[in-house]
Amino acid sequence: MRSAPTTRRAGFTLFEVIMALMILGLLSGAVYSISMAALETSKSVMTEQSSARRLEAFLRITRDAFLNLPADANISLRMTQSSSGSPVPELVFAETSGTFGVPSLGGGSLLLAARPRADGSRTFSILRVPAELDTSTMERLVAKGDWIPLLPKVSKAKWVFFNGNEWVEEWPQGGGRPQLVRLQFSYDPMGGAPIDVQFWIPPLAPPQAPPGDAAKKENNPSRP
Amino acid sequence: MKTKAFTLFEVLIALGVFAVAVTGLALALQSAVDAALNARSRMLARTMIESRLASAMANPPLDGRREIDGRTNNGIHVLETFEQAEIRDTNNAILPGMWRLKVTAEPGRGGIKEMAETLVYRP
Repeated sequence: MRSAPTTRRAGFTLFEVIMALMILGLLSGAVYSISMAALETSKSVMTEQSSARRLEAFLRITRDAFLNLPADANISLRMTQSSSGSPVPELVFAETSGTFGVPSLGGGSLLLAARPRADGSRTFSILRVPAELDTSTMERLVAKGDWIPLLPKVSKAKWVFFNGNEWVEEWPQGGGRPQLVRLQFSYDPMGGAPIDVQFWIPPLAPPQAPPGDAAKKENNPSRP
Repeated sequence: MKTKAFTLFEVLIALGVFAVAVTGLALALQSAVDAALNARSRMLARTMIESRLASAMANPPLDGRREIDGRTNNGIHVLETFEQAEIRDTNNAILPGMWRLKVTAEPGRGGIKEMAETLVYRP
């Protein structure tokens, strides 16, 4: 049996190893927390971007629907009750030959509504309704039909219409076409940011001078 | 006996290099968040400008100018101007009833200005 060498062997003492491990632990902890924060940030940035894109796409498709409204189309707002009893404003595009990318409605109409969901949020959805339905079939279709979701997680949706003089909250059937349609809602993925957009509807008749314009004309000689 | 070890100076240099690297990473994260928020405010300004353009087409600022203060408008300052457009026909005469409607929206905190312009026929 060999005896232990008498010379002191080069090596780390226990204290040095413990210190090194401690520094390693601290540094790797720092690196871990930074990379977790980076992951978290990129996730929230992606969520933010995709929700902003969804909102922009919804607004664009709705704006296009109003801009490309055929001359024979008419718009009306009807209030219905959801199964939980909360009011659901439904915008009806009737008699249009096509809107929202639906090529032809065949004489039917298209409903755009913020439908309530089980979690309390609402989703802007569209539903195609065939022509000549009796009331009960229509109600069943609206309640159980295949709504196509466009924009989820909205709340407090409200439609307002500009008739040339003032903003009105009701636009019954046969009311003609409003000059402007205004949509207000809050968008939950952006922290409930209030969204307030106005859509222009091309008028069918040439613009007429609103009442009271004659007085303004005298004050403003630059007008033709 | 003198043991071989790092001097305090060497350890400080190493920690300093690490700190610089970590700060750079944190700054990169911050700029990513800033870019996302900037994109959001630009998107909101674009949405705002489309809405104001629609609104002004139906109800133009007949006095020539309408301003919306950013403090009452989610921090977006809007300016609408309405002036006669000098569009000439082949006889070099100005076409009557053509107006130029210009809308600018400027988000607060030094955001990028968005601008939109259209012609309105209003005899």
